[in-house]
Amino acid sequence: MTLTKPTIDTQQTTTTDVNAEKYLVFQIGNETYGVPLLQVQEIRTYTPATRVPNAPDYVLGVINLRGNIIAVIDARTRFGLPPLPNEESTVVVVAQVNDKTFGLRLDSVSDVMDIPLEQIQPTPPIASEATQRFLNGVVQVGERVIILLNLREIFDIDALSQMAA
Amino acid sequence: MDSLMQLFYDEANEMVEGMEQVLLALESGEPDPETVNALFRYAHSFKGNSAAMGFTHLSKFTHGLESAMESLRKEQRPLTPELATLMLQAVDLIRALLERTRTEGDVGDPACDALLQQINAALNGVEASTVGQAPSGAPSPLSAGATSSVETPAQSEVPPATVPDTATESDTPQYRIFYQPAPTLSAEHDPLQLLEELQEYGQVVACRFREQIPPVAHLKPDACYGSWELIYETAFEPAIVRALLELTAEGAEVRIEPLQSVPEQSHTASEPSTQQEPPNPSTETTSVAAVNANTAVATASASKGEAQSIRVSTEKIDALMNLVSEIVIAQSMLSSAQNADTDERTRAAIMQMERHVRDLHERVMAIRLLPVSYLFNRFPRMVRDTAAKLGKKVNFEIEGEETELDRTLLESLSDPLTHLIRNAIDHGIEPPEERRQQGKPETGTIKLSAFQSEGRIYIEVRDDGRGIDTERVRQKAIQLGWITENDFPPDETLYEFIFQPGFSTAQQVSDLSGRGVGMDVVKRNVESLGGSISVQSKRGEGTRFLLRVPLTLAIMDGLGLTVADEHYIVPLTAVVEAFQYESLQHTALFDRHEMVNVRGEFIPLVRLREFVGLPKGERDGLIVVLEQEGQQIALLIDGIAGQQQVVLKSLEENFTRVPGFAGATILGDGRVALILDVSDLIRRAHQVSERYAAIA
Repeated sequence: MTLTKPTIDTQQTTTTDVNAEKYLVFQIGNETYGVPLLQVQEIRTYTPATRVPNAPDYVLGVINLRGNIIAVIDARTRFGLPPLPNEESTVVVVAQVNDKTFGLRLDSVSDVMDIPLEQIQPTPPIASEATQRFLNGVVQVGERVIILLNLREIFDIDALSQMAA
Repeated sequence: MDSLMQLFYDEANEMVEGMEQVLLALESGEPDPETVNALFRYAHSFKGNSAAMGFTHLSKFTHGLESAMESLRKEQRPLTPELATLMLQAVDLIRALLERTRTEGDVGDPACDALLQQINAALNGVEASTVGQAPSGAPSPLSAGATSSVETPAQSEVPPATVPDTATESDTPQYRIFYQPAPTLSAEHDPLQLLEELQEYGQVVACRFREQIPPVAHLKPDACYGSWELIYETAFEPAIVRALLELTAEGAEVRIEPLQSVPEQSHTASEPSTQQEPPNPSTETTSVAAVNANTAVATASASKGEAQSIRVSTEKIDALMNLVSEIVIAQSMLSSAQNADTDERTRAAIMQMERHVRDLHERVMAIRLLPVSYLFNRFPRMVRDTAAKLGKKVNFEIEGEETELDRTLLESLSDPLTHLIRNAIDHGIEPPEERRQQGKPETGTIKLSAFQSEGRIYIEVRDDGRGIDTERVRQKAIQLGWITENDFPPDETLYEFIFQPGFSTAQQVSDLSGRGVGMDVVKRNVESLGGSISVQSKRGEGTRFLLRVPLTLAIMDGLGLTVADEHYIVPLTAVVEAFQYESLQHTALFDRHEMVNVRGEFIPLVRLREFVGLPKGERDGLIVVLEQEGQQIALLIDGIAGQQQVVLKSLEENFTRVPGFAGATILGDGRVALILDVSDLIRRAHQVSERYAAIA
């Protein structure tokens, strides 16, 4: 059930720019977002998670990742968007933050891109303060504007451990 | 720490433990030459290893100890209690030094020399040392070698009979040893070391160095072209001499021939010492590896304690375990994917796969298990010291040490068992006079045994001491205000008191036991492992503690509970009973806090649906009564999904602690189920009820 990481055609993506980093790029709603590929462990098709009582609504539950129990967070709910039903394309991106592994449920993943680090712009203040902390900046690559996500804030383990008793 | 160091410490600890065990075995049992040899081997390997790591002080001390052991072995002397104590002290000293080397590097301790002197004094005190260590006046092998090294290869072997007659006219057997170091000399092969070794266990009567150095054009700079030929006199058997050479001269070519030239020996070819030689007493040429094979049979019995093993980190095993669990789940998915259209071959393959996967699963589980001897072997020493301190005579027996248990569990059982055994010596076993008066043998017996039954491990500590004085327990309970003067509870209840915090009947507090903490801690420890403890006792006849623990911490028996389409697990040990909800009387404090009447007793009701945040069910389901630490709750659920063994998984490892849940597990279909934390559920329910009780 595990999909392999999208194959990266190194020939094509290698640029002369040394300060570029590979990002996994995906669509949520109409916007394109990206997370550093280095933080991504694998991409899986979505399997139903076991609900965790009293957990925040964006925690879909826990799943079994090769014998380890990991939490799955719904990206849309986390950003205050209405959740979408599961589709063929629905995936869970497994990532590591602070030595903890978690899954981020996404509608789909689209691409791996080289993002030149010096072209990253600070997040424009249009975003509300609540969602601002999920963002690491924006970058324009060709025609596309990519919003870079801060996984550490999205999987906020400190907030989660305050879970109501 | 680098892996070489780690390996050194792992091995060193094993050897130190080995020495201790052998010493204890020697002290109690008849002197079995194999056991003595084992002791010697441990000391020898330890010496070599520590020298290799550059811990010269340790190596020097062990060396001294080894010499002492040697003369013990050589003269077949009994191990006196005094010597045994000294030797054990030496083992302790080694252990302490070993710990210190971790931080301080190559350290010594003045106590080492003092102890060695004591040991030697004790050795010499036993009886006048006849052979002892090599006389100081003996020619050093080096000087002997130097004087004869002028000989050239052209002057070929001198026949044995013409060996310089410096040999003492003793009846000590002599051997001619031919020693050719490995073709490539390395730091591990030190011919001088070999010669020194030999000098310790006997006397090198003559030594001749020979070299066959090729022309410079063919000379390899790191090759060894020299060889030695020795006339060696020793009381040891040839097998031991060979073993000695083996240890020092790995990869070398060694030949040992008994010398027939000693007058007394020439006519006694059938003596036991020579009988052990191969029938043909002529030159026996074997590489050390071959010697190894030959002596393998002989050493097999001696090395029964040294299991063939490799070291693997527990992390690796856990990773393997997880992977296997995953395969088990994938397998069950595969099996359930079969349908009427599945062809015969696929079906057969799946079935075969199923068998192998089950087998694999069991085997991987077994890796985590260790024999309880790992734990039990620590106790003979403790029993010996404790008994000696208290002036009691104790015979300590171990049974079922091959029973296997999860490693982590073994560690956690160490403290409770130590306590129980100390208690048995301190409070159980009577002083020798008292035992004699009662017509019991002066030496008391404490038996530690382990066995497996019904998927659980039982560990028993049994003594034949005075038993539990129930009247004293009753008096103490009265004193503590637990019962009144007029209460005469049954013995079982009185025994239970022993496990209560703050209870201790020891009349005087000794430094060994009886500090008032103790049995309650033992009970708590055992219970935290998912186990239980019970006690039986008969006045004047003894006491028996029985510990019951699961095979492994990671696996427990669970009961599957369902609410709506969700599945939860409770530990089966917490389940008291289950019945239909309708059959119960139900009441609610202030219409909110619900209680059910179970046979006249009101138990707080917890609705699992409510607890996990689900809407109320349409129909009433089942009640499961759960108990922990004497408190109960009635849990209302929709249904029971059956009993199953579950592997406990942490929620915190990658997520966070979830209040009300002890962890999670993976069900057969790959889904995750949460495990209810029964004590948390009970605590919440009772906190609420106390609050309401206070208001009312």
